[in-house]
Amino acid sequence: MSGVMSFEVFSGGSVTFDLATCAKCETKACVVACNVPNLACVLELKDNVPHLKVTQEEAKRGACIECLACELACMTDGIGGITFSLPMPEWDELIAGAAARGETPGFQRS
Amino acid sequence: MAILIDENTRIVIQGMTGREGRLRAGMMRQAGAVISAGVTPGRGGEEAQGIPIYDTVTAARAAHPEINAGLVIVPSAAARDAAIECIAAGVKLVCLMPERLPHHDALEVIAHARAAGAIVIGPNSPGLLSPGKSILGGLGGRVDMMRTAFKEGRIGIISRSGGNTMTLAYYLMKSGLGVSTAIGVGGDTYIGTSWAELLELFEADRDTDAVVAYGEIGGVNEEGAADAIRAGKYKKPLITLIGGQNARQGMRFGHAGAIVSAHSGSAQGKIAALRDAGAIVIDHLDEVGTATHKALGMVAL
Amino acid sequence: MARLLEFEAKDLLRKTGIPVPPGGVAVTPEEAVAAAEKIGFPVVLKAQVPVGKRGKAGGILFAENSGEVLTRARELFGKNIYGYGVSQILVERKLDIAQEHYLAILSNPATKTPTLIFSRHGGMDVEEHTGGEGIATYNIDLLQGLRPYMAMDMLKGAGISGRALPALTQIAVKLFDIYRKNDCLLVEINPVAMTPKGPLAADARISVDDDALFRHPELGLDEGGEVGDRPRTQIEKIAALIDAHDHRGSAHFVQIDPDGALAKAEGKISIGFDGVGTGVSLAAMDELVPLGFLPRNFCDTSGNPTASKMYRITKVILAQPDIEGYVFISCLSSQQLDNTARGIVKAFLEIYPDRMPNIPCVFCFRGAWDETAIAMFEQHGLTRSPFIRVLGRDATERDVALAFRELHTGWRAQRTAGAQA
Repeated sequence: MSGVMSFEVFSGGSVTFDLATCAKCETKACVVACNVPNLACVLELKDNVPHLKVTQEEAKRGACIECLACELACMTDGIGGITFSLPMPEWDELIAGAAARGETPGFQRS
Repeated sequence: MAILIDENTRIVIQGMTGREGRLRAGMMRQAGAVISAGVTPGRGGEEAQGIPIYDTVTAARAAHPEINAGLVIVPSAAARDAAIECIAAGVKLVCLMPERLPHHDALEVIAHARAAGAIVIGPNSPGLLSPGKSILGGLGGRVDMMRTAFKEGRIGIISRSGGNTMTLAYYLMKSGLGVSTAIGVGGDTYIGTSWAELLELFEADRDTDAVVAYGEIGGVNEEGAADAIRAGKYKKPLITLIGGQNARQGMRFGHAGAIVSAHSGSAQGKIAALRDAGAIVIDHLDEVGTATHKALGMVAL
Repeated sequence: MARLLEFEAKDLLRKTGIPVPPGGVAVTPEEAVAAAEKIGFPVVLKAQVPVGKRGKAGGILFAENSGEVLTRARELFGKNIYGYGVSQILVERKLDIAQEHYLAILSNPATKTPTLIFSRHGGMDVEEHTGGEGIATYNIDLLQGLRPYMAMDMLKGAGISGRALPALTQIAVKLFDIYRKNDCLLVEINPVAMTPKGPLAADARISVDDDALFRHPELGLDEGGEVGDRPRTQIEKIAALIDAHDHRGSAHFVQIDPDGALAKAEGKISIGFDGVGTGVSLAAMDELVPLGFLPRNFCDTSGNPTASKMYRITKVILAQPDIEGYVFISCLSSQQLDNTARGIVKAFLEIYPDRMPNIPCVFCFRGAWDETAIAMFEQHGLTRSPFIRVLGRDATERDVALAFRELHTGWRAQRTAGAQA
């Protein structure tokens, strides 16, 4: 198994599964974490790797509730196959321009 | 007894067939509410959660004349017309949950309610709850969560914040006190029912010994409550906390109504008015239990 | 609330048939001269900024001839008035005013009606007089609207007579029309200038309900937001985007002390803040401030926001310069606190890959799935830091503030020791 499984989410961002890694994962913690009653339940296991139960469009319309449970479970119980990317270009600009404004963002202060 | 809602409350929900409506109806029934009908235009004759759906409130009331409370959970752009329809159909208690309702819409609903002698709670209200009797709206959330905070008792709660309604109930419960009726009046500046009006109802309720209220910066509710006490319209203990003592003028804090203008709405002004009228103003939310006990002890003497 | 600029407000008045002084809008000093020459001298130059008391900030200047217009207009275009740069100037004929009145319709929270307000003494400081002597009010029943006789009775009671009576009545009725058609919170003419030719709206203020802007695209207004009489900061704009991009749950973010000046002036320590529920956030702030901690921002993340929204807003809060800590507190909440926590945890893991925050942080989760939320901090190694504390359902607002003070004291001590070593 190789390649990626990826889908977009409503707020602007994407979830990407590195299938070569996921195939080697023994826990598939992401699928377990997603299928909890109060969460989205959009992931299933197919051919031994995570697979989207709903269509790409449905996921993007909000079927994936962006609870981040898959990624966080992958960090603790999986082997790091997931990237949940939630870009914030305006924030990146803010941080990049801080030095020029003579500011230090709170989380970077010494 | 309780105020506004009790075991005889029969509810119509406008916006019942939506996802939110179904979810809400299910949770309300678990908490003991009796929902007679739902209303969704164009869906008359259907059922949702086993509850019959009608096209209009008038049709729902014709089939269920016992309906005496309405809950509006339609999108905010449609809330005004839904609420006015409910009032026009003769329902005397209407709770509006939608937030971000244009305030002219709220003022129109209030004008209609006045003319019809109906009570409007909200907009932007989390609802009303008389523990063990009935619920109109979503106070407390899931029923297990609700029961960890609200138990039956003799204290009324009025709150401008949905979350703090439950927080206050939880502090009361931990100190051994339960709730007669809790009302989330709504976080907006322009709301259907003011504190003063609710205090009068609590005054008349034999099963309420005291009222605790969460107020905050903005609007004139707290000042109105002070006036009601001074006028002798409310004589039981009132225990309040006013949030936003350190808020800055001109900024809006979360709730649309939480804003201090140059001339009114400051926490300090509200606290002074309430204390002057004889209300108990606490400085920390968690003091509410002990302060209420103390106030009731004084009354008992 | 969204606010129209003076010339935009006057356009609405003019279209409704309320007389306004002859004038024109200029975006360059040369245009100002052309406008003045067209109108005739003397003229008044008024900076167009969405904020009151412009005159006191030097935003209103007079000119007798073209040369003066050029100099004064150049002066105005270079000005910054309460945080707003001047990019437009309204040039108007200076009026020959016999008397100044005040006329307004506002949404009145006390009566829950629109209220017509009139004072015979209009002008600069009328706000200070409202509620006092010489103010007449009439509460309008929305089922009836404002009919001329209602306004006339009120104006007559306030001492208006003769030809001014029907003229002012007409203006009041038209003002109500503007108020209703545009979902206004306030339409105000101050002053109503009584000139030999009749009443004129010498200055006008119109503010529109943010929540009704969706039905007024023709006004071309942006939400005024939560910041009051100043422009939004860059961080506030980013937070507003986050909230606007996803309707699921809300993140109301506003900077109380954008540049930290307030904390400095009051000898307080600036911290980042987030709460679940406006009420509890205000109550928690009231616990923190007396202990010496001034939240640089107010934030309410309630209504069951997605974890992704929490992740983004947490990064925004932590980006604020100079903060010496971060406090998160929920009310006893029915929202899914596990989701709330996941967003916060992802932000912390990304910003602090070593799980060691550079500032003291206190979290308090109370309500639905609170235990799951708390466990998550441990699972991800965040509780190993001496500067992270996670509290649960039985903590009070006061406990949270005290826990933060304790952590902050330890953090300060360690920094001082580190600096000495």
